Amino acid sequence: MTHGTLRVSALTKIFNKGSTTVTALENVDIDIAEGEFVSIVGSSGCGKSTLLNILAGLERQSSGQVLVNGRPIAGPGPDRAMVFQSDASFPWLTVKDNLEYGLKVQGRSQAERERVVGELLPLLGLDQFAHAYPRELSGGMRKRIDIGRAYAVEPEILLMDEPFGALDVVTREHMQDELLRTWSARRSTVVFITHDIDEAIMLSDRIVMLSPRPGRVREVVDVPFARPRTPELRETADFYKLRTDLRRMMGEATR
Amino acid sequence: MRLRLISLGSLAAVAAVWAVLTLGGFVDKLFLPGPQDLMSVVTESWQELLANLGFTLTRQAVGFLIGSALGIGLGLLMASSRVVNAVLDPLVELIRPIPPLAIIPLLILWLGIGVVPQVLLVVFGCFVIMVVSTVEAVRNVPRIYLSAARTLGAGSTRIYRTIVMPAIVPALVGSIRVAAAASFGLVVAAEFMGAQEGIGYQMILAQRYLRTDQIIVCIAVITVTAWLVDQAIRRLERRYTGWTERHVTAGGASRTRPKSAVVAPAAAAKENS
Ligand SMILES: Nc1ncnc2c1ncn2[C@@H]1O[C@H](COP(=O)(O)OP(=O)(O)OP(=O)(O)O)[C@@H](O)[C@H]1O
Ligand SMILES: [Mg+2]
Repeated sequence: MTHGTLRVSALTKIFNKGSTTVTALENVDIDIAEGEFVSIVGSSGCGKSTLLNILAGLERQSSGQVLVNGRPIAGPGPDRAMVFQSDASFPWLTVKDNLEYGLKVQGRSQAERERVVGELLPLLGLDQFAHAYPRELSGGMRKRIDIGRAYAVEPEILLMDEPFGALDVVTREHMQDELLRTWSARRSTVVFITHDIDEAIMLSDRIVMLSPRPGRVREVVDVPFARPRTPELRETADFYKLRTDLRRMMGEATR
Repeated sequence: MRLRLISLGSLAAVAAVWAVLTLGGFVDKLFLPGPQDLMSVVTESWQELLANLGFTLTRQAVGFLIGSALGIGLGLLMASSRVVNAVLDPLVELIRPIPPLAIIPLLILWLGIGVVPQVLLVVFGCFVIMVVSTVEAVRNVPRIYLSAARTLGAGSTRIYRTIVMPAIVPALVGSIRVAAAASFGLVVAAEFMGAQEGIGYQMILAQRYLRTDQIIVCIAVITVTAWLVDQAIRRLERRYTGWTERHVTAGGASRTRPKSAVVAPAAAAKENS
């Protein structure tokens, strides 16, 4: 049984806008195993969000193949919940109702929804705000609603597009810890986009680096550090070396 | 505060000029009646005014409700199905630019003078406003909400019910206010065309008997009523769309921002780098 495997082969995405065409992704190959945590890094505009949208089934590739659990993607589904780069919390629903949205779609009982939301609220640091509307919250808090809404449906594959970019350092590290905890408890697959190399190293099994437009896989780096990873890892020479290597590759990739 | 005083002063100045001109006998009462003339109209004929207002409000309400319901319903239908849209869009585009008042002669020719064409005029005006703005509102629902719902497993019917419908409410309420305001103008105009009762009818009579004072009182009555209706809709709006950003800045918002929510402002700079 393979649950949560992703196989991307020869994926190309071309945007046509009138007479101009933009090649966002070119010939991308990525294999992601069940339960793997993969980060995608690359400079702005290199096609990271586009790749995630295709994995989510929101956008179709121009050519190439994307298989989820061995089958081509037919469309979006809660097996691949997504945390969007921009604010996507529903402003007409309270925090609690936002978190419950996917569960209601699945027809879960009220008791079960209460239980899931009851667990999520403290994890997200939103327990004081269950009945607040998104507009009453800060941008970082709204981001956490999006994250919780995706966690709630317990997807096989969790797609996250710079989810922690809007958070302050302390909240971000807390959210990273919680993500790792949920991930290891559920053994779901995570595809995680970030600009933050430290974050990518701390979280991932593998890091896929895309080159600037058109996005191609420039480098795939295994992160060798054992889990659970503690904050002290950041102080080690190995960490420092990996980070320097990645920075250098990023720099070269940008050129 | 100071600006407020200035505004009040400007109102008071106009009122003073009016009082001086009329009470001092500088203008003919036929041309511009004074405050005491208006007061006596109110005290003498308030029953008649109220009765006529009742007739007018009934026509207005029936026309407004039917027209808005039709407009919203058809707009939602058009926005939900491409085929329906392809059928109806050219027709809507065809009637949209027609000034509602311009169809009065046609209505009279087809339906004679009576309550039906009067109500139909209001229906027409409200329908056009609402159908256009409903289609527009559905088109303007941010795509990210639709995408988010789809990735959470929602199908198109559910998305329509749980995402599109709530998301368009604020825009619709705005248009409903426009339609309500327009409906008062339309109903009075409709009553100018041979109605047997109603504020518009009373105004035509007053015009015939050169009762400028009555005309002005009628204008005031219909204006105050329209204003009250607008206030009522705004109340409902605040009640049902408390979630929109708008009311936060609008001052005197019903909901206040929790104090602790002010933390983590780092979020402001979350745009893609
Ligand atoms: N819907 C679209 N229509 C046309 N071009 C698009 C569309 N979406 C993305 N693009 C283009 O594709 C390229 C990749 O965009 P994408 O959003 O995937 O970048 P990204 O790597 O996520 O960048 P960032 O790190 O800034 O979020 C960009 O050049 C962008 O202009
Ligand atoms: Mg992006």
